[in-house]
Amino acid sequence: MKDQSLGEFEELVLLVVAGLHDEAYGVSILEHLEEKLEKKLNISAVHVALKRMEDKGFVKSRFGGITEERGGRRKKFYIVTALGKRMLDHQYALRTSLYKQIPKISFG
Amino acid sequence: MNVNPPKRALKFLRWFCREDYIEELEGDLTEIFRKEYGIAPARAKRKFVWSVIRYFRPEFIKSFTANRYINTLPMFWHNFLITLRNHKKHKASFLLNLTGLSTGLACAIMIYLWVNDELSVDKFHENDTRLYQVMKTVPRADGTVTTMVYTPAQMAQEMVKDLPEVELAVSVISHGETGIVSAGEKGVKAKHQFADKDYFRVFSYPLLEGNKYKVLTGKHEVLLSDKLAMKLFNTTENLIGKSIEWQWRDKFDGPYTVSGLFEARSSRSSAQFDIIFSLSAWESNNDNCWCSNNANTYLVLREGTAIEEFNEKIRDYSKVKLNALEGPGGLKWEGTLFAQRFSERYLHGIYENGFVSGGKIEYVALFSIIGIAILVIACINFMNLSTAKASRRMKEVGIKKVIGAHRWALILQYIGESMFMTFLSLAIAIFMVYILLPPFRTITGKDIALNFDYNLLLALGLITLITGIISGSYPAFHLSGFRPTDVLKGRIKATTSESWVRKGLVVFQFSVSVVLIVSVIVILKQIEFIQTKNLGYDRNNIIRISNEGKLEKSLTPFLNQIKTIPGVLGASGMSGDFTGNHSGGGGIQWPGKDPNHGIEFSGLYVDYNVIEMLNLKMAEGRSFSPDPGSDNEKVIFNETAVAMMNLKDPIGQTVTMWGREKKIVGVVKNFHYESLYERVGPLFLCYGEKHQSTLIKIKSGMEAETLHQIGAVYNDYNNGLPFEYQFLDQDFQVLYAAENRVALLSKYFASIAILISCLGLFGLAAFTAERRTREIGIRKILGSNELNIVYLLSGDFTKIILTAITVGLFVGYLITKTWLESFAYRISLEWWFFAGAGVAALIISWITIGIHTIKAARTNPIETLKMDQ
Repeated sequence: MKDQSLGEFEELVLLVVAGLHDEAYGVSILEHLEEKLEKKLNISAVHVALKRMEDKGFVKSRFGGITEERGGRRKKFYIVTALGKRMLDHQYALRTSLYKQIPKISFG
Repeated sequence: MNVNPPKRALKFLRWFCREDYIEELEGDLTEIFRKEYGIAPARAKRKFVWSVIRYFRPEFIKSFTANRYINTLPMFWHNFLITLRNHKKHKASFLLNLTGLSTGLACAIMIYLWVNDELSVDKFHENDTRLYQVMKTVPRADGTVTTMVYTPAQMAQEMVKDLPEVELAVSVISHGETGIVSAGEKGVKAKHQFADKDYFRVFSYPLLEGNKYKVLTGKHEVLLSDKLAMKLFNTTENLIGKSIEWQWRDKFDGPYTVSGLFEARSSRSSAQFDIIFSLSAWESNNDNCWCSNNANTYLVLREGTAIEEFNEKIRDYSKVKLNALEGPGGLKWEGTLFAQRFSERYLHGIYENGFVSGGKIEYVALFSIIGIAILVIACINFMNLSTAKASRRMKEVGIKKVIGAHRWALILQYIGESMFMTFLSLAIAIFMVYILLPPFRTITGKDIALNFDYNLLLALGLITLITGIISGSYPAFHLSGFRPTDVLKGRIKATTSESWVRKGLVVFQFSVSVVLIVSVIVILKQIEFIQTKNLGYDRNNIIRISNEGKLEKSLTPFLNQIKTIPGVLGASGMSGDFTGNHSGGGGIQWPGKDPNHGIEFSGLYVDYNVIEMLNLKMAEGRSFSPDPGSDNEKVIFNETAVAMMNLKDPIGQTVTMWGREKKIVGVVKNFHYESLYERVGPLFLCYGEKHQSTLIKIKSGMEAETLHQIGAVYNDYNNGLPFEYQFLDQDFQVLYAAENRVALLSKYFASIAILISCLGLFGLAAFTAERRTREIGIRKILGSNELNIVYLLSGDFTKIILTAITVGLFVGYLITKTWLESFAYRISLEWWFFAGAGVAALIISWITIGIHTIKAARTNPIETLKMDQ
């Protein structure tokens, strides 16, 4: 786990993939993120993140059926792998533990 | 909503994007685009383009180079294996291809060797680029000009003094005659020439012994070729200073001292001589008037001399000199000069109106074209057979493409296959050339050898490479262009354009073959015509011997002794011969001559008996009388001369020939005293006493013993010299040696071209028959008889062949017509030459096709129909 790193944007995409479960493909991930973050993103950023995480083994993909609105191209669906889930858990635990260390007096 | 994203951006994306990503990326992009298009079309488009551009980064760009030829070596072996299996499976077409290609290549190699040899003649001199010969263009009495190589003997040294451009110059006097050289008892004949002192600096004939700066200075000096030295002394060592005895034209007889040794003439040199004397020896025995043109002048010009300017400068050089030295007397007939590259003269040695107009280069061009044509015919075979057989390999191509072969990989495979064939053929061709070289040397009269030097290897490599690429390219591009789905579903059919190409190629092949057949027929007929044409004199059983050695001085006793031999019908002396060696000139005056218009005469000096012996017919008057001295001032003209001189009653009239008055005693009927390239011109016959050759007529049936007896008499006079004689009709053969050579070679090459074309046709016929076996089977079952089938199968080919014959006959007609025009006396083109060639081509091709057609037609239909294809 030490060698594996996860960028901030990658972590967001990974969370969305996990959240959308089995319905996560390029456009749905993008729309979800744009909605949550309330800002415009470019699809290419999402694809770059997905490809990198696929190389690292955090997500895996499969092709879906052909749909009309995509010009005859198939959707590529992503799901989180066990490794990806562990990475998310690890990140979450790390942040929570760090968060808990904040003394109350710090906000004086 | 079905709007499509911007086309160009999409195309760009598809071009650069990795194949495994394109599906997802394009799909997502399109989906977004379509959603946004409903809201803001223009912005959607802009955004699409921008997104595409943002994908243009290393992660998404496909690899354009790597991964493609990583497995070159295994693929190479794979292709090689497939090639071998294919050849093993189709042995017949493999053998056809191999035979055709190797024969074609062997022809091309031999022609290349010959052409290369011709082109390299005289090019070996170190000064080649600066080595020039001075040519002289001289006006003739009848108003035309003639270009000749003869110039005054002093001119070379005068030019060195007068013209700064001339670095070195030599005069060479060469009569092409042989003299007798002897050392002690031994005598041999040798071709000689006289040359200036710088001879071996101007020309690069290898000097084995002697100093090239010093030889040829002394009057009694001589240089021998190593071969001649070997004959005389049996050694080539330590000969400098040795003495030899020389006999030629009386005044040069005497002892000479050897001052050097040069390497014997090679076939790559146009100058042929065995022995060289110093020019000073010639000069001390002759009057050296600038008006006597008897030497060849060779110049080495300084580096950077512009030849056009130099030629302009020397144009009137000879006239100016003549005027200064001898006065203006002979100026009217003095010619203009120009210099021509010495090495160029061998191939460009024919002049018209004072300009180079051709020469042997025409034969070089002719055979180059024939060589290329044969090679192309062989290539066409290969192309046709491979494209025709493409159907057999379509499945292979389809599977390969499905698995992921690039088109280039397939093209390389097929080009590689044809390269394999051509290199295999090259190996066989080289073997064939080795076997055929000795007879080829005899035919061409050249010392051609297969030396694998850099140039030959380069030429062989290029010929083979080009052959391989040409013959492989059409099948390669054709086969690799199939769409795999069509191939595997069996939807590919031969397109009409493809069969048109194939038909066109066959038409070309057969046209060339027909042209060659026509040419061979015409050449052979013309040569037969020449050799059997009545030349106006009887040349059967007449031998000619050169009067050398003691014969020169004691010809009359020799002739008298010869005449006593029972088999000898007549013996007589003569100067010149009937192959174009004769004297002549324009300075003859006759009563009623137009002073402004002259005639250029040819002349022969004969002994009194020659006219009778050659059976020349007299039109008027009498021939020379045997009384000694009585006819010294008499002359006989031929009919053309009398007609041109416009003499009404020629007998008894007096003409002035170069200052001597001569009386006309007879008019001889026209006969061919030159080659048939020339019309019979005006000729005079004069009585002469000194002769270069002796003519002897022998009774037929007694040749062998008579020749033996003549030889014995000859040896009494010239002891130790071989008795050499020529039959007059052999002389005549030499005159047409070039034509005979062309005839022989074109006969061979035509046969080869036809053979190769037939191989191709054979292969195609086999293929067609094979492809239509089931059709034939069904036709037979439905009641078609064998004749119908044969007609069906050969009909297509017959049409092609007939087209080829038409084209070939037309081209052949044009070519042979042009060739015949160079002869003054020629055959007319008969219709049957062409009909014969056409019918021959048709029959040959029918036989070729017939073998397969009949076989296909006779097959039992059950055999062909029961098998599942």
